Amino acid sequence: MKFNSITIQVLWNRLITIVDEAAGGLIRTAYTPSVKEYHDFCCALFDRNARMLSHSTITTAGFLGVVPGVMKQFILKYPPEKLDEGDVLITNDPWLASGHLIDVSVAQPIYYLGEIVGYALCIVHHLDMGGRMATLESKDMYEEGLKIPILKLYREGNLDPTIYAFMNANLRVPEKVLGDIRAQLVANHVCTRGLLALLEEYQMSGLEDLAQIIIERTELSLRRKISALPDGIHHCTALLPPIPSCPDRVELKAKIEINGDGVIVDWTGSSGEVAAAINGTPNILQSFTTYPFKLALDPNVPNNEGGLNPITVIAPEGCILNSRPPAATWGRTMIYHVIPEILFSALENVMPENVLGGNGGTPANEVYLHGWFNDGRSFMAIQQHSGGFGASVKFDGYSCLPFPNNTANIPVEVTENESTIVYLKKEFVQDSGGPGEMRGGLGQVVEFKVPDYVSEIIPNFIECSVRVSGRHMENCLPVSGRFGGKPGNSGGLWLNDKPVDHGIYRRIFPGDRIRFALYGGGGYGDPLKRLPEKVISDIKEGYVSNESGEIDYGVVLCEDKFEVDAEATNSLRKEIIRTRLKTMDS
Amino acid sequence: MKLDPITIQVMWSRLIAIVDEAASGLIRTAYTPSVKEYHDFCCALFDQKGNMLAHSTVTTAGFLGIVPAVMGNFLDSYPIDSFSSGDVLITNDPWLASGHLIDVTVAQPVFINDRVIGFALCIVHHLDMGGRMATLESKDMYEEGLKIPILKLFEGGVLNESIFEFIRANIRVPEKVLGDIRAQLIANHICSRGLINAMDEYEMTELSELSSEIVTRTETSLRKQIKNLPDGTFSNKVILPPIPGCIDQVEICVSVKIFDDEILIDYSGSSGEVDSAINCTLTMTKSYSSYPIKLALDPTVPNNAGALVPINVIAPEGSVVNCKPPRSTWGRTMISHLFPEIMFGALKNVIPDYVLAGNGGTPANEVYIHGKDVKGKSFMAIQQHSGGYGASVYYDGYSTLCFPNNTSNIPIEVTENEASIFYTKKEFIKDSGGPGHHRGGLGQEVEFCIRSIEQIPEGFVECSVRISGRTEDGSFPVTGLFGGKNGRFGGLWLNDKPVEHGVYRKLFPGDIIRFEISGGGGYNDPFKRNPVKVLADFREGYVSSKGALKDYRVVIKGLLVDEIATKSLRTDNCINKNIEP
Repeated sequence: MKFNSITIQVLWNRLITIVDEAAGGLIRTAYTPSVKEYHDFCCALFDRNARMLSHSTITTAGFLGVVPGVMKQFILKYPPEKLDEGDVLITNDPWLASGHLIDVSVAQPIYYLGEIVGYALCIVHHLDMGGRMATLESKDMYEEGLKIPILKLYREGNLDPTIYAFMNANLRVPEKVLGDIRAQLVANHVCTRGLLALLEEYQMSGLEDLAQIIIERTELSLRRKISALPDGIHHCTALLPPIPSCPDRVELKAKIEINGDGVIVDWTGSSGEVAAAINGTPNILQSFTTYPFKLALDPNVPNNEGGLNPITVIAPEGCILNSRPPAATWGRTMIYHVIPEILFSALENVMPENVLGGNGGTPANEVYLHGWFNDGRSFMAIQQHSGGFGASVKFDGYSCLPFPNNTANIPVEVTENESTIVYLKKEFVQDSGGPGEMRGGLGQVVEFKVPDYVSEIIPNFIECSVRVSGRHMENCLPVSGRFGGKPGNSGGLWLNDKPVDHGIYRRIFPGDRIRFALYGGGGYGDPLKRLPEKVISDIKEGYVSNESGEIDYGVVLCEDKFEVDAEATNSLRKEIIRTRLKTMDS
Repeated sequence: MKLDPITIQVMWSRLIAIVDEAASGLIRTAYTPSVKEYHDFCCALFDQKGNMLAHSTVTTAGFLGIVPAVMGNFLDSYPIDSFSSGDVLITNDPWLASGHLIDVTVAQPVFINDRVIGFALCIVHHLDMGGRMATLESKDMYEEGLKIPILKLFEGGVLNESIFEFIRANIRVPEKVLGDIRAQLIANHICSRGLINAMDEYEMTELSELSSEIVTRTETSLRKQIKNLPDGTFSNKVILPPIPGCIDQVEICVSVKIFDDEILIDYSGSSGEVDSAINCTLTMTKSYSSYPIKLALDPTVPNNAGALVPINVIAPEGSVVNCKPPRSTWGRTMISHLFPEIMFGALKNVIPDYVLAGNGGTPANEVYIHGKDVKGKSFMAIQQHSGGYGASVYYDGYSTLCFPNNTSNIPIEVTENEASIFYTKKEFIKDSGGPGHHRGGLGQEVEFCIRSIEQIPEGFVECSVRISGRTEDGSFPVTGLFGGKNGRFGGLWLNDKPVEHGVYRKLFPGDIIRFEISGGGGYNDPFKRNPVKVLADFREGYVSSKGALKDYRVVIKGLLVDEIATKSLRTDNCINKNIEP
């Protein structure tokens, strides 16, 4: 079938609308705020060869490079001849799907005129998958919960009750998780219906020709951008902060080879897999290594299979980024979320205008709470709070916006309604944004407590795990500033004002207070070049203190009014530059 | 059809022979030594109402009171008219079955003329059920591994492949566990075939009359024994040794009320459920509480549903002896193995001739080892080593024989062949048997070493060693009775440093694990023990000359008893006089 350019664009947009409509269906039918508010999911549409054509724009970015791999694993076990109309496939295998058990992938073939024309897929990060609750301490996958191998959840429209029976038996809050899985079925159904309507309307019998064009154009566009970069080999090394419960320190090493219109990223030399829940699997590695290139070089072209092809990812089997079963994987984002930042650090001189300063909330904060209400029901709640976004060549970083995961904020009122905790504080941390010509976004401090009435509930405690970035430990991986911009500031976790290990299981009792601070983002460019008016505005908003205004930005306020003392500022900035030069000489 | 007494006896014996044949089928087809050698399983046969008629004699005693409840729970989920020929049921739900996830129960209806006339059931303690490997540290059931709800594993002879897929995906050594589950299918098949053949031969079409005879006779026999006892309420209270990973002190309180021909065992006052993996489900508590009564009073009548009727067991919900989901249960024998001794403690003055002194291997030792061999293949091995048996009114305790679990020894050569370890020691501990007129059996010392890096390329093995945790001077020593002394020795060492038992540990090439399992308690005054027997013990190396002198007041010179010195020492009134040589 031959398309004209206008039809191609219309159909392409339509495919994206279909998956976003599917995402809308998911959000409206899911049970839990981590889906409805936090948006830790994705919906995607594939052609009959399992090539990804569109991916919901509401999603976490980590899934972009994951879903093509997942779909290919599904049809490897169930090729078209083993599928029937009404079949639904399911798995949460970390090595075949999205890298940890708590993500469940559900997919279905889409039949049109008796033939498979494509597939709909939906991944959701669920509340619980049994096992040890939300902890970096798990030593292997068996400790982490229930693994669902690739199975047919439905056969020709008939549910396999065994799968739900196992989930009912092995999860802490099965009614919620099964509710969310049914929402995934809804999403795939919406996706299927949307595609069939499109095929009818345009009298197409399949997607192959359109798929070919979409993928080729996307690939070509990214390749063109890569061609514009100078050829060369770049290296990066990052020693990660200590991981609680993990005796080994983790180091990531990459060799990035830009060659013509392709890039090879080779992780050889990175640390081996560890006996803590931070190990990665192939699909997630693929995803977080390709994403920063697409984002930096070609952000406007929609995401599909074509955006992955120009980047080749290599990692030796058994290294922490490409672990072997049964390594533990729950907190694999402790490693993966850092990858875009360290790739940007390695490439900042190659594409200075396309990189971001480090994000203060990377790796992402995650809070899991499991407890009981006074009517005996058990609850489970996930929260996520973000640090400050990194600054870039043209913009200050947003305050409290996550990167690279792209999830949304769960309002504190929602979590208070879902659990028994009460928030005491959720506010920006002044001066946490890394100073720079463009300032990093501000981080935040969050505090909640277990109210006294919980003492009357049986059991009288909440099971809790709070993961922060860990970058406050040993200060070995500062939240990068770029081109003279300073790193973001302040992070940590406290229980009743005492610093404690993050990412581990803990029981909290009535009166206990948990507080954590998330870093601000890294600044971009020399803070002395920041427009003094902007500094004044930051001071007015409370983002920056007077002291930091002077020390970091060299901006002096008039004594009598809230304005820049231009003369004093000028001489202070010169003084600071002189001091810098002296330090460099010595 | 009216059965005459001879036919009843023949058929009754036949039913027991059938379940024992099933047990042989299991042993011959199972993959793992814990089934083949250690015998941690049971096979049982039921009538169509779910009454247990026969229970394999090769078994662990803990299953005796459990299987009737499990079968009842199966029938609650799947009523009798919901079965077709070829159906097989499965579960490992701790509350509906045998109290921890690692035991899997498989049962099937037996059909004659398209009617269900009975059921065959087989429980096996498996190598692994995923989760946290073999540790008391698990805080809830979700951490302990895969729960298999009550499901039909086969429906009309067709396998539900999804169940095997889940098992395959979630456990460490699936090929072995699935092999053993298939062996359970074989056991049930043999049981069904045996029953059908027997009924064919005797031209029976249903079991109800025979069943009623067997159950009633057994029940009547036990009731008669109970009736001989004086009415009254007898109680006991013990504080368990500290459980690693458990902050709470666990106390078990029991009162045993004998009234006419019935017994009521009440655990009110016992500690609440805890956050470590020692909680008992009610079926488990019932089983190990009724067992010692049957054992003591009516040991020769075969085990079936009838023996459970005269004994009622109650325990407050939410206590450590009747825990609620999702409590962790893996090491529930840390408590349940103690019930017989606690029960005997309560009843020692009522039935002094029928009780045993404490067993040094109670709660049972368990060693789990998991690792990868040179070929990268995962191995998992369970071992169990026993302490000394408690002495009784007529007998010395056997050395290194377990109680109450009734399992066998796994030869060390078998374990060395299965796992990358080698034994450096397995021997009796001299003087470990509690002194008494009858001496407690000897405990043992076991030591093994992790093989070299060439044999475990991963560089480590995962290991958990559980022992009783009881010490001679602790809160709950291995008790001697009526003047008999407590059993002795006990402990766990890693490279000669004492370490906590029952927890997960990585071991590295060259590491040496050593543990001592206590001897059994003695029965009656050791000074009344015949000096000839003490000499024999000395010659066998069971008792040292120093022990003979100090514990038994028998003076041994060379290889003979110094009779004059012994006599004078034993008639010495000054009991507390220092008699160190």
